[in-house]
Amino acid sequence: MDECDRIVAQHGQAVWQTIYRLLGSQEGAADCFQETFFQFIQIAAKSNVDHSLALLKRIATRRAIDLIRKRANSRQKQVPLDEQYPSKEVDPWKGLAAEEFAQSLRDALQHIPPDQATVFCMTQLEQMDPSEVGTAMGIDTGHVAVLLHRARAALQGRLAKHLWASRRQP
Amino acid sequence: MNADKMSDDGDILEIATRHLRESRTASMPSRELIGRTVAAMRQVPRPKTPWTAMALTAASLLLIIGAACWFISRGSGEIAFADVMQHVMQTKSFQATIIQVGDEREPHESARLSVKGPRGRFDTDDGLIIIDDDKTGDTITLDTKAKVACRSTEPINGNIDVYAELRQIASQMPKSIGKKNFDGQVLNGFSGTVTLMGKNGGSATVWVDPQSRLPARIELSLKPDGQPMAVIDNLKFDVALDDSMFDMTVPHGYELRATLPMRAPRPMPRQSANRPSTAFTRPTVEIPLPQTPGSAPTAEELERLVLKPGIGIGELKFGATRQQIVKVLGEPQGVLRQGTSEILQYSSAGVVLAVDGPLGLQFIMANGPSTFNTPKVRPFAGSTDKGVRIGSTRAAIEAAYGKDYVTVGVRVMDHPEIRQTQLTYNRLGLLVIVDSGTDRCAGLWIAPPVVTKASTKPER
Repeated sequence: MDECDRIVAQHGQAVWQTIYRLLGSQEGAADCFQETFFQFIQIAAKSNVDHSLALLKRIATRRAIDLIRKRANSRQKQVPLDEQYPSKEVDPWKGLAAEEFAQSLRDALQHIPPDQATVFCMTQLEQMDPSEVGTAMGIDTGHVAVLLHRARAALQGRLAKHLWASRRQP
Repeated sequence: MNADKMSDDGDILEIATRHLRESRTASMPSRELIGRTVAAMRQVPRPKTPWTAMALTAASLLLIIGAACWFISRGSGEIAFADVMQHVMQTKSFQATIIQVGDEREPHESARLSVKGPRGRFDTDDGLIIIDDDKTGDTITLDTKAKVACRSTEPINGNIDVYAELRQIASQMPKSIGKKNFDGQVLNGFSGTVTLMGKNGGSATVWVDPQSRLPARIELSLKPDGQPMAVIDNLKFDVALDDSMFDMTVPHGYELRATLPMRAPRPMPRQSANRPSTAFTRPTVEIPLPQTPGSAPTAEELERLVLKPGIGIGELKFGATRQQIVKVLGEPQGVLRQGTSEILQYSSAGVVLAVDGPLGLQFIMANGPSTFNTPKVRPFAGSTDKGVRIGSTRAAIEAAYGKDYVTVGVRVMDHPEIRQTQLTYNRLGLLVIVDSGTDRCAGLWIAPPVVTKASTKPER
């Protein structure tokens, strides 16, 4: 078993879950998975990597978000969130299935800057420590906090649009 | 936006985040995807650790020698640290073989290190000579193949303060790790943490000759309990070294340039563009074979040692556990451990078995008298299942296994007169080393056959 085998065996499942969670399906997940490890080994070939999993998750998150964004750009018509998930419920979020909530957040992530999306995913979805995220991204913890704050604000705005549009439904 | 609305916005983000975090995921990527990924990763060329880095490691040698002696003083209590230090500092010269441990993508490399006073000299196995003067910081590097010399005033050793390093090591708690047999010589082992190449947290395992009370072998790792990145072997002190070895003038016939010419990467028995992930590769470590090979194998033993390319040896098949191997071949006469891997050395039989803990038997080498740096190993007296043995002609090899092989030229360190060629039968799991002069078999290595169905390129 060589270094490549060990890295994939050790972190493959975690990377796969990161990617799959963000993409919501297997479509493109295999490409993302391969590209993540490919990019990782390229980085590792040039410099010492102290926190392999954190770096892998950063790459995986960024790759998955990029893919989501590409998919959205390839659509002929961008469908607003509030048109994708119309609800006739007065209390709309109660009428949404868990997967619809998840999908709405996936879609919202593509509309915020990649660094913000990456920090949000790593801290809120992967539940990584901010210092770990900072190390993986090459930024200090304070910067992580700033990016997370901006990400939350932007995502809240995106999701709020959906919420209030739904509430307007009779 | 009023307070209620803010609260609702925050809630929906929390709810969405929770649902996304807990959303269903496929538990594992497929085995096929893992295989493709690993194959793709192996295509990434990894830059070799420059010899200057190796030189830097070597520059740490003195301080580690001091550390080793300090280990002795703590471990046995028989030698006073001050006395040992005095002895070390009185040493005028030493020579050692430095082995930079590789892996499946980058084979090991070795170099001869010679140190006399402030000057050091590296002779690498790919034809570079690096001479440096620790006092002046001058360095000259000679490319003996291209006949190019390159001077530098940048000290490759850096500003290492040996005494400061020793004080740092002395603050650690090195521990005795017992004795180990190296080619018939029992050495005492000591392990402790050191600073290597400017990084804290490295570890040194020092094997000390109990007679001379000096280190005979040092294994260096950048991480505690990590795989060795370098092994300093065959340490010999106060050897006679001629001053001409450390002459820093540009030799006649050499062109002085600002930089050395680019070199093609050395040939590796590795994955090429169409090689699968299970490519047939050399083992990852230098095998320390014995100076005294031991008694010859009996006829009965030879029957148990028939090499079956792609299958195993005798009744042992690739994948066999260490216990199964010992049951059939007995306890090895030497063992080299590296992570979960073990090199089992049956020196009297002339075979070396590489075992990876979870994967079992992975590789078998049967060496001849001139195979690599093992001139004194007992030649393998057995044969393959098709009758090829040490000394068989190339014609006999081709008659037995055909001509579907890849050839790689090989140089043998310390034996420039030896020129060898590897004939690699990937599909069979057989590598035959042929002496170029005699065109006869000098070594037989076998492994599981290469699987060819996997793609090595990432899918798009």
